[in-house]
Amino acid sequence: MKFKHISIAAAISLFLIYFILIFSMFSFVKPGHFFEILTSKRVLFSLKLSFITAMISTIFSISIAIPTAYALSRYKFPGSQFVDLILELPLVISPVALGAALLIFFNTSAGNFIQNNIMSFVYDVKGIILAQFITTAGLATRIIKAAMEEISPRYEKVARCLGASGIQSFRTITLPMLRKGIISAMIISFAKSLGEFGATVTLAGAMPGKTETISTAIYTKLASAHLEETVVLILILISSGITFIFLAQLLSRKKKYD
Amino acid sequence: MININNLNVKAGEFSLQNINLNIEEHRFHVVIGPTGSGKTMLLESILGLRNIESGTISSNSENITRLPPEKRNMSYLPQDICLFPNYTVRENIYYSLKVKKLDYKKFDAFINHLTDFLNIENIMDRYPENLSGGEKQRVALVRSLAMKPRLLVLDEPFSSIDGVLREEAQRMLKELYSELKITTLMVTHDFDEAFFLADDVSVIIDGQIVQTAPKEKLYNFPRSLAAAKFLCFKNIYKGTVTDISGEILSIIWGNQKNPLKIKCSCAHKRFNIGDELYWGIRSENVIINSNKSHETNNFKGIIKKIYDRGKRDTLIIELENQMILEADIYNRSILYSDVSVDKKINVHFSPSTIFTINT
Repeated sequence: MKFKHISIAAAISLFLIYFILIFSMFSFVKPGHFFEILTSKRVLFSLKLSFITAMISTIFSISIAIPTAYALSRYKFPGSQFVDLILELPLVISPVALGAALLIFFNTSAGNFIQNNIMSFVYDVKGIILAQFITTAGLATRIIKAAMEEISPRYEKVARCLGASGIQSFRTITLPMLRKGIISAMIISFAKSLGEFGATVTLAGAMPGKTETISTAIYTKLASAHLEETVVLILILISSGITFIFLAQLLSRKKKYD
Repeated sequence: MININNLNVKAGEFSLQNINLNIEEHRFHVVIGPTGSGKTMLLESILGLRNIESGTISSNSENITRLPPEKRNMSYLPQDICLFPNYTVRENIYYSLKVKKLDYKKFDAFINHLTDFLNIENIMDRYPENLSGGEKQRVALVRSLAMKPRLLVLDEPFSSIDGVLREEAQRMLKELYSELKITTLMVTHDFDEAFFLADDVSVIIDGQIVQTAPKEKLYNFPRSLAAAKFLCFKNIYKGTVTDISGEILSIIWGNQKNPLKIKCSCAHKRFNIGDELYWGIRSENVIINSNKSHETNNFKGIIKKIYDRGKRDTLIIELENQMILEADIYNRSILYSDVSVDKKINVHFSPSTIFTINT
């Protein structure tokens, strides 16, 4: 067997594993019940909450990721290597640990001050956004930094010499060239936020009608042995995730410079 | 005129040291040096893209050392051209006017002249990815010139193209310069390119400018050993001054009995009898088997090797004093049919084509 055939067989096997996993879930749902569960008030709420929080946390993540990635790829400043290292943290430690770290922080005097005087995060919707942001910002920065390192700093130098200020050259030259990297970072951040469970449930809890997202709802439904509802929620999560990624990929593939 | 005085710039382990450079108005100035000698760093310092440790840069007596790049009115064409991929050719060309909020109408005639001169009017609405290498180069040149900069800075602009295209691009730049007479500073490591385009040439080696001179002078008369070696002088020897008579130096070199005569302005100021010096001659200035009789600087030797280099042949000659000499001859088959390995030949050095360097 040639290596080509082995590699194609590996790809098909992987696809089949996921396909069988997804397909097997359909046997647990009666077609008539699907829409009934989908349109239930609790499911609709968690769906709406998940999408809104994922969207807000993605905006926050991308907003901080772009300047951070720029600084890390273009400048060497004291501690830049350490910042680079810390960005890997959400990738290597479990989301529950991140959520626990956040919860512990809000029990310190600084955290209490924030909770009481600025904004309340613990067991609150804002906590969901914070948990999602913490788990995705590093990842978004890493993706945008990789894209930025592909762009020669000379473009900006040329723009500066042609009369553009630092911010102007970034806005008019580098940012449009980063389009694909930013879209990729947005997709990954959004999809990860949508499926985020560990940090969210630890910091914000899973209160139905208040802080219950699709991911936390899957857990609570499974814990209370509501298999049919669990499966519907999983299917919603999968289908919405795949649709968003597909749409975003289409967007980033669209050729602009014909 | 751009004046650079005692410029010091540091980047990691490497530094530019005490750079002094005058770029005269309407002159094409080329800085030539080997890879890693600090050429790009020098350009970026002049453009304001690097932090300067000490020294000053001024333009027509105005100190611009601390001015940001966007306020210097110096345009930059790097070696990788860097046309903005998200803009059309037209948008690239008008970029400087747009960001500087200049009145397009005042520049339209000039830009139209440039696009016409460089034959790019029919590609104005294309994106850079759909242009050939030569077209990209021409567009980048027009973009750099559109705002009428006080200095056009070119960083090895032909490094990405080869052969005929490269020669065409060099000619195009020369013609454009002759037409506009815009003050230009270019860096390159290509010796032929530098001498084809330049009015004045500076040699930079290890972060230091070792010589600046009009190109004809630098080509034949380097003032440092490092410059001579970089400028491909093969015949460099040590000698001792035995006599100074007016502008003529007499030199003893190797165990040669006949003294070598060198025409050297300021001979009395630069040398005393007994001084050691380096002297040299370009391999193409060595005269082989001349029909004319010369009073001085005639030596005998044997051809040890002949290298066929296509356009020319390089002869490796062992002189009577065992010194090895290189001589380039052109049209060997027509003019030097009797030249072959192991043949005895006469060589002559014209006193006015020999350079000297103080040790």
